Amino acid sequence: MNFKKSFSSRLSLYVLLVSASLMIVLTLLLSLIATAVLRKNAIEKAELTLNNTVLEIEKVITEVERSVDNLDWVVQQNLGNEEFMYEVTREMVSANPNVIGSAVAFEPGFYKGRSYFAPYSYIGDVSGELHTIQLGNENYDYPLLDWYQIPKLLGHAYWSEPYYDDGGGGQRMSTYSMPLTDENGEFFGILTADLSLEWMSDMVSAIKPYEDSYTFIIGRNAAYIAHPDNEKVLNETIFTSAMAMTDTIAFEIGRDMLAGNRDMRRFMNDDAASFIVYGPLSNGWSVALICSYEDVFGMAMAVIMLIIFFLILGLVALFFGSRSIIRRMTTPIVQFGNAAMTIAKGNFNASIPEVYSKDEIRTLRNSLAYMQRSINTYIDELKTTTASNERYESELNIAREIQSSMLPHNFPIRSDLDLYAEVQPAKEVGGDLYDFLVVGDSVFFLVGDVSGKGVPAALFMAITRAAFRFIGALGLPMAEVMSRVNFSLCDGNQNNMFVTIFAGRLDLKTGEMEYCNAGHNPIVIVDPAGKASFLRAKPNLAAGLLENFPYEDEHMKLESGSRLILYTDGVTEAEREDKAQFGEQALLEWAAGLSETISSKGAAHDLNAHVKMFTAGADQNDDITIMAIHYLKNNNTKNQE
Amino acid sequence: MNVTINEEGAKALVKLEGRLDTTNADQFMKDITPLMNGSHTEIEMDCTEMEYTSSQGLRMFLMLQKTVSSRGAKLVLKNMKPHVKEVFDITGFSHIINIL
Amino acid sequence: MKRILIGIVILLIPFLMKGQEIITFMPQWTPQTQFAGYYVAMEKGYYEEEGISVILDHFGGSSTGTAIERLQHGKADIITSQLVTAMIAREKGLRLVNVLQTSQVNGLMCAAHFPIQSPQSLDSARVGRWKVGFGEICDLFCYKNGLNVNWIPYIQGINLYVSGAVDALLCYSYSEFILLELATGGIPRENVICFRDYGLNYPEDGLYVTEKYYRTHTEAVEKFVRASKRGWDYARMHPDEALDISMRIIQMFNVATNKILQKRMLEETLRLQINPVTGKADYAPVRREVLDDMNASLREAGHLNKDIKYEELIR
Repeated sequence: MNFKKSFSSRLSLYVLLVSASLMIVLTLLLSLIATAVLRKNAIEKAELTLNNTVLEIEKVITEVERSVDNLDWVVQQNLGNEEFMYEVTREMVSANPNVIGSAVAFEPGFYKGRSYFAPYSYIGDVSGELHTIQLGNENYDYPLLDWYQIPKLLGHAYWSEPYYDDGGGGQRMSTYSMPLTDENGEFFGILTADLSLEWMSDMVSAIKPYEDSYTFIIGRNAAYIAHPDNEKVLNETIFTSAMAMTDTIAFEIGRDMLAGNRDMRRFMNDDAASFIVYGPLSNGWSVALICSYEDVFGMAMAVIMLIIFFLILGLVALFFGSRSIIRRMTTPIVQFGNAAMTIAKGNFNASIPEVYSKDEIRTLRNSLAYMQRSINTYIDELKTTTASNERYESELNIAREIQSSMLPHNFPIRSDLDLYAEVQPAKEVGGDLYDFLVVGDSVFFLVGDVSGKGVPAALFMAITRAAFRFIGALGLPMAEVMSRVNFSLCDGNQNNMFVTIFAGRLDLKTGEMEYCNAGHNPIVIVDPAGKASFLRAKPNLAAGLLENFPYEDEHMKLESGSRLILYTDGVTEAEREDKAQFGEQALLEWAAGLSETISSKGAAHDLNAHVKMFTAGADQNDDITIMAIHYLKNNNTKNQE
Repeated sequence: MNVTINEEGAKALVKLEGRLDTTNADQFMKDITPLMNGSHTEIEMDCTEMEYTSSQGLRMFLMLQKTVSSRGAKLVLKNMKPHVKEVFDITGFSHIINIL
Repeated sequence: MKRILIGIVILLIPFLMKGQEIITFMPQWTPQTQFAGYYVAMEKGYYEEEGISVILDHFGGSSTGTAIERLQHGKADIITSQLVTAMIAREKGLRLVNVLQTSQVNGLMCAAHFPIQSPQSLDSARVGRWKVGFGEICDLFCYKNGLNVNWIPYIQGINLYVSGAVDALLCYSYSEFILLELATGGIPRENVICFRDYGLNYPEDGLYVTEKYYRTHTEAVEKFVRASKRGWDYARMHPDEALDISMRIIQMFNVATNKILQKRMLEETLRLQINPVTGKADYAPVRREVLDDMNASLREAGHLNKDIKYEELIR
């Protein structure tokens, strides 16, 4: 798994990082929320439990209070019957399952002669039988005892602080005492019911909403009435516990409980973070339930650990899963890359993988395919163009072939004639031609310029040359020759091609020249003295246009040592960059400047050089043809003599 | 070579400007196609601004002349510059084409 | 009651075996560290070393009678009692003598449900006091300040106060007051007064025997006193051990209590034994001036008709 090189690995790693961060944040949030919810639920549960506990105890308390209330009436009704009071107490005990003792204690002297009169019934806890006695005597001075005196002083019923029963068995008890008043509102006695509290401690110890939670009850004097630690019961107060703790919150809680308040507090119970819910009982006692957070959260922590474990598992699965999906989805890209490489290497028809989705990858594929098509089209066009260019090139080559094969190169070697000719063809062959033929002591020569370019012009040139060769050898007058050549050229000439020609026949013995001009440029004559001038011949008409045109020839006599310069308009119309042309004047000037001794070949080359110098690198758009003839009759005669 | 054709009924007034050589001979051919294929009875070409023509250009004029004549119309080239007319003279085309 | 007797028998056995001189010692209340020194002396065998056997008789002292009555009826040989109580008893005819004065400072207090800004605050208030006595100092206080207090006699405990049946409660700094603190989480200081701050700093606990017994058992009495002093000295040096010893004895008598109360009671008792003049717990006998002062006050309040002579009382 090379991260740098693998797109899918990198991408899935980023996906993983983002998801992991998100999940961690979410998990933290969830944990916080869950913890808060758990805490809240725990407290609610504790409060609910507490309320239930309170209700349970209240039920019993209320029952006792009600019983005593009812008996109050009975007592009031039967005050005259002292002995009946014993019955009252028995009734109280037997009618109530939780009441283990009951007394009706009268104020000393209420019944005449009796300083103590307190009928009392109780259940002997060894035998379980109901005993009835008279309680008061010197040793048991009940008027000063709390259960008598306090309700008397308070003026209302009073639940005593829980105490251990002296009688035997050591039961925890509390006495509910109700003051008895006569119709004048005068106090005359106390009616009591002793409530055993053993059931309460049993009940309380069973209340465990969480494993380590516990309930305790305190009386109005803060002494524990019920507590999981039996040692503490009635021996210690909530404040003795508070003194053992470093946190003063225990004092506050104790005071708050004594004040009869209901609340929930968080505190440290011997280093265990805990919370306590407490609430009052109607008789002034207070019930509290303590739960430790560890208890509450114990399970939650396990759940959170489990969640984290699965989270990590999920993240790992996510990584590998997303990596394989991404890999699969980006396969087309890899294939595109390969296809592009194949195309680049020259296989323009490489197949581009098909894509079925309608997304950016599809777009990429379409672009790639379009590019491939464009490349193919362009290459086809290029091939066509190249082919046509090549064809064109080859056409040009053919034309050039034709032309060069038409042009004789074996110039005559005679002492009386120095004849040289050459053609510098333009890129597109222009159809220039020259020809010469030495027959005996006559030399037949011509220079011609075919209209048009390319192969048609070259062919036309070939026809012209062939016609001249054939007709010229007949010895006919030049006019006749030209007419016949013209006739041949007009025949079948649909393209309106024509050729300008200057043809002549020079008798080398006599210097007599017969010539005919068919629309060609005037030739330059340089006399033996070196003076140059144009031979203004009759233009007639270029050949190949009008079948029956009456050509006229002319005659002149050449002095020995004269030069003839024949050319085509490729020379005079040679252009330089600024479109200025070489011109006839420059030609004349050049001819005038020729040296006496230069050969015809040298002259032709020199003229070429001049023209080249003039054009200075501009494109040559027409064939440049030059024929230089030097007549040297005297030389021959001299040699003969 | 710029070819501007104006029509006055059956008469075509053509203005030629510039050069006619091998490079634009084909274009010239295209430009005078309406004259070649048209039904003008008279074609007047103003050669005041015609600077130069090569032998290739002569061919074009010749073809035009032949086509126009074959349908009985008249072709006239007017106000030719002297050095341009010289080409026509030398080649003898002056005999074939009306030059005024 | 049964349990106390059993306890006595258990304590008696070693001494019965030895056939030594037996002294019945009766503290004035139920077992608590108020009498720690004596417990220590018994446990550590100081009485034995002196050659006397001691019977510890805690009759209860809560419901009926007092230790003085027991002494009078010959049910006890040596008792503890408060000085005031002894003075009044002597005047009534019981010729008892003081052989050891342990308490040097008065520890009686009054705790109320309201701030006691001045003695007058207690006028017409319901104030709880023990039926068996111990409130004489307060009588002097009321007399001195012309107070008319609604006394509510009761047997023992602090429920009168806690239930709100009384406005205030007499209490000793070493017993009920500690209970009140433990029951309420703390009584505001302004709700509490110490009578010694009102010119009534009369010493309290001491050992008493009848004149007759003193004459006939002088040596035994002196031995008892010596050993008791040793016991108190030891308790002072080793309060934790003294506390443990006391707790054992308390539990033996099956009296419900808690260790914190006993611990603080011991601390306070020992503190009250320190002589304010010398700064030491030296069991200094009551000073003549003090006795004269007490005589005068008691006479004024009508508790005494005749002065108690110093020589007669203090040995």
